[in-house]
Amino acid sequence: MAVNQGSQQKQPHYDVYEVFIQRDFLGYHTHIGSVVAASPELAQLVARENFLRRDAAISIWVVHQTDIHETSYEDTDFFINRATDKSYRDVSGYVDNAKKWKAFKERAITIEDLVHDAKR
Amino acid sequence: MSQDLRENAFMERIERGEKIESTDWMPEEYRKLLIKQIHMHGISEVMGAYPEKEWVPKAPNLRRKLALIAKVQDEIGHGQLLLRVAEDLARPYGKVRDDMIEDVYTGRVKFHNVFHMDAPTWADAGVIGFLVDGGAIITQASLLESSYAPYARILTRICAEESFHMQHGESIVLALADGTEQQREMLQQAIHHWWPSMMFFFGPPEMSGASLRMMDYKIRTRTNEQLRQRFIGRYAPRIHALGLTLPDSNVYYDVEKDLWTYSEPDWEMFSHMVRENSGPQSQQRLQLRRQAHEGQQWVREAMIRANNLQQPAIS
Ligand SMILES: [Fe+2]
Ligand SMILES: [Fe+2]
Repeated sequence: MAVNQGSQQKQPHYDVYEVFIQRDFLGYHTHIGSVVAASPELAQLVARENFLRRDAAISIWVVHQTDIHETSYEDTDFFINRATDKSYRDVSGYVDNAKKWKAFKERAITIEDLVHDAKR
Repeated sequence: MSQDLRENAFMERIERGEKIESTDWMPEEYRKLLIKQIHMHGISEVMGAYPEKEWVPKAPNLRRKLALIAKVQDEIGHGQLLLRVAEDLARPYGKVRDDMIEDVYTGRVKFHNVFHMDAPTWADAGVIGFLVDGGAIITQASLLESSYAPYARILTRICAEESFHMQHGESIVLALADGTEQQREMLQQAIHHWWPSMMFFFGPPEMSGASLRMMDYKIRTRTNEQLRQRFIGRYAPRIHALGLTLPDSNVYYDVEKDLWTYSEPDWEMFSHMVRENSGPQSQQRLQLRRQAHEGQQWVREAMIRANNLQQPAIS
């Protein structure tokens, strides 16, 4: 990432901003791409013109590219904790529960049932 | 804009069902109620890891041990996510992570009654996942519609992880229910042990002034009693299906009133436990929390020094 912040360049130089868009209030800001612009405010404007010509959104974050600290794609060890079987940590590891509830003549419930209860 | 006009405009936003972000203007009362609620919630997640952590070394097999470790990790993780939300709100008061953590052992923030209780047997470890997580999920699911967007957003993530906690707890409970007489007896005792705490967990039917204000602001949208009713409606039949009993013979569904009846828990005894940290395990767990926080202060400081020593990143 060679970002030259110099102001004495002959031609105008714009910094790169990474763009994150939030589409609704309960949604997260999601990375969508990047723009070049002369200031953060202008980066927001350019982002709106580049990415939101059709779609609706409620918020844009622009982040100076040099402020992003990324992991290396080569450093796969960093993500090694996915290598072992983790079914004990997932709902999928507990399919037997439903069978057992059935044996006790009761229906298995899921978190969706409880969420649904709460909204009732 | 005058203060009154601002507050009116804010309430209109709430009435319209709009969501509030941390950077929006908000009345101080709204901010303080949120901090109190989310701080307590976050700290309860952290303290909630303790009763189960006690069973990690004693889990009956490797898979159970791994699952229990995973759950403890999740709960501490939930605590961190929630404290982050509370910290953004508390910024005007200059509160940072250390304050949020210290508040628990200096008694400035309380945690849920259930996490003051002891977990004497392996069945308790299972029943915590079954009933305590069940109750926590019902509460958290009702907060998914909170007017404060950062809270609702983080709860979406938390609830997704809770679905494993629920299955994990039920798996232990089902194994014991399907086991020897001794195992069933252990499970029966654990159900009796946790049920009164669960009745208290949702709070009194007559809600406090602060809770009612939270309803006005739509920080929460369900009453204590509504949540308790949902809980009994889901869990009493399941416990009966296992051929087990509740310690309360008044639990039954009143068809006419369309309500579950139950005996009131000992409100005064449990409130005192939460207020004074005087439950069977309160002081011991707070002591461990303090040791962990103070004992590792040098590590937190060393990390800052290490970072300062590093060359500024080359761009
Ligand atoms: Fe949790
Ligand atoms: Fe949980």
